[in-house]
Amino acid sequence: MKCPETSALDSLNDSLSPEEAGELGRHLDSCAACRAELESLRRVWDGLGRLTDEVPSEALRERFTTMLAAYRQGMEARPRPPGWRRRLAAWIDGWWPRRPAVQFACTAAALVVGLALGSRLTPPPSELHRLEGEVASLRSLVSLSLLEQDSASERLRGVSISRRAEDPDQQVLAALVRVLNEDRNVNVRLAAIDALGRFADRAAVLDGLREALPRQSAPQVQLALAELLLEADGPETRHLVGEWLTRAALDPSVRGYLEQRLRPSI
Amino acid sequence: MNPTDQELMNQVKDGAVEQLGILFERHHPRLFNFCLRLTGDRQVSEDLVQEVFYRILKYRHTFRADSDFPVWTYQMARNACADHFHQQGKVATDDAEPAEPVDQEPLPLEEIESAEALELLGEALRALPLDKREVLVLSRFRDLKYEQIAELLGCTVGAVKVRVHRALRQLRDVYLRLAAEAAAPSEVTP
Repeated sequence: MKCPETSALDSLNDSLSPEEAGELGRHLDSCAACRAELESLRRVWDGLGRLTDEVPSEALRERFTTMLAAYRQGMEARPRPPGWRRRLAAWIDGWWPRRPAVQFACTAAALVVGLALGSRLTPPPSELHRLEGEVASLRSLVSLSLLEQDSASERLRGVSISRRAEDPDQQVLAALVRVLNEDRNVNVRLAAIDALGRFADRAAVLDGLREALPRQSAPQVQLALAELLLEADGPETRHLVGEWLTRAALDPSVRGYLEQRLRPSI
Repeated sequence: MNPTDQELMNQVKDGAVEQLGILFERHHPRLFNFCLRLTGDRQVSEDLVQEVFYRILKYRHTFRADSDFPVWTYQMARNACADHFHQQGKVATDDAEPAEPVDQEPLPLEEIESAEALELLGEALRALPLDKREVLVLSRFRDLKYEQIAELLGCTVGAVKVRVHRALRQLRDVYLRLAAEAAAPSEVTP
């Protein structure tokens, strides 16, 4: 005989074979409790079928499109294959002079020509500002894409690029905080702390650093993040770090150092 | 003729990542509603869908040519939701199975058709433990066969049906409790 629970569900889905339906029907004819039980389950099942799906917002599509574009940028920014480098090196080697004095003279001449041309080709200030904006935007995209790569080296490159930005956008800073909280490589997380430290005067970054502290388990990261917080902010953060020390399971050397750091200076 | 999901995903796997855009258009609404049924939060659900498509890109090399794309994406979505709940510190399962009633009178239940009743049912669904909510959502809303759900959950078809049945019973009990609370006259403070 089929399991009663399986039979009940198949009945709700109208997927019983004729024999099974007959067997269940004969049982229900003689059992009021099972009949009522199945009827109540059927009403809940039918009710579930009447719940309608919702439509996601247009913002989701925009976010996906941005993410896909950044990912493609990152793929294209990867180093070219070694064969290309070898061919380029061989071509340069074919005409670059061997004697150091001649090499220096060629370099100096190229510098003079470059400066002369550059002074004539400098774009107007507004155009320069626009170009700088586009470069910054492209740098953000490349950084974001590198932060998502499988290779820890590429993620480190992504952190390094974002660290060099003068004014990184909110998306880059949020990505750095996410790396701090979620990256599986300790060195990448440490690099993220270093990068975020440059912008710790921003409220959103400071909040992200504070929220990240209780989530860290690697001693080096705990120490680096706590140090950054203690340097970046005042009494409120000292209190937060002190509270965290009382609750967190810390390496003894980390705890000892931070307790020493928090002791009021005489 | 439109390419199949498998054909598109194989192209993504081969480096034509822009083809993921077509897969996004086809599948993001169902993934969104799957996450929404589990989390009850629109913004969180959109974040999770974004995460799922990012993971599809990141782990595209793991997609086998004979993989079932919807099942594969549901697995990603399940994992993303589980990570979300883990971060929230929420319990995923209810280890205590409700005791089997002994000679209990069948509970009266009207047809669930009105807007108020459907809203209560949605609330009851959100009140279920995650594992029960998940198996109900997969079986009732997402057009998956029991064989596909069994593959997702790593169990037999029979086990899936038993889980769905028990989850449905618990949903009914929660719904009846909420309906009784909603129908109870409010106390008036003198």
